[in-house]
Amino acid sequence: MRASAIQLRPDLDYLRRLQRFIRRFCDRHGVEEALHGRVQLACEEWFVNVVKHGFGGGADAAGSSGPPRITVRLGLARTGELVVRLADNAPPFNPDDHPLPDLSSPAEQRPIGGLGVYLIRKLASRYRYERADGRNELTLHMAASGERKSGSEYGEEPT
Amino acid sequence: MNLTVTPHGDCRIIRIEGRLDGITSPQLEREIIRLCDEGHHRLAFELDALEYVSSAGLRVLLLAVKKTRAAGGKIALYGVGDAIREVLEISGFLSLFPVLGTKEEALDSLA
Repeated sequence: MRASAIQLRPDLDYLRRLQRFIRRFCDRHGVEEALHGRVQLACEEWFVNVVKHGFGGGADAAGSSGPPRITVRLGLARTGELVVRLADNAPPFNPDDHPLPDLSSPAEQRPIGGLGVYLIRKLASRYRYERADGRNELTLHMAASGERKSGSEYGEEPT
Repeated sequence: MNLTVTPHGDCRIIRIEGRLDGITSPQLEREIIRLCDEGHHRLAFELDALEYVSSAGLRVLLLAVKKTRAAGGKIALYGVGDAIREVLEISGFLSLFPVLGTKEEALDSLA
């Protein structure tokens, strides 16, 4: 698998750097624009969450292990699927433990926020979360065809 | 991101070009709060040059819905491309405001 990785600091200023890294990877490997856009979105949602909630906007969030380390690794499988590995040493955060937003409620009752994790889960055709050695590792498989899984085939809905 | 606000009767047309993401969305938020504070509660969003939106941008659109409705107004979107529409759809936002084809349709819906 052709892959490359980038290390980021827990600072929103690094979002631009992350965006450029994804852009370059997708350009180099001829990734179609629609897939590129979805990878940008999933990575931004994850990175902003890790910075704001994982590290709490600073480097000394309780429960994190050692100096902040945030790594994004992009790989292209032979099938054309993009494999995104998102790793950080912030406190444990399992996206499946995150409540799903109520997308049918009227505007007045919709909470502002809470959509990011939901978007990540919907954009990936499948994903896997692991907590090991003090690190969160989220692996997203993103399909080139534009297919999104809307059901529970890949453990989408926690019970 | 570039923001342009154009008056049209008692409506305001907000053109957004580029990326509406975690970095740029506070700029749009300030603009919407300013418009609402000045008594403009009918907002049309011209989005044919919007390339990208993340949940940070959606959050600001939801804020615009809430603030304008609270004052008896509303918002409408037009010129939305496929990528942006996909994000609006996944997020359940298509039920929050009309997403229309042309400026005329959007302004009609706000009348």
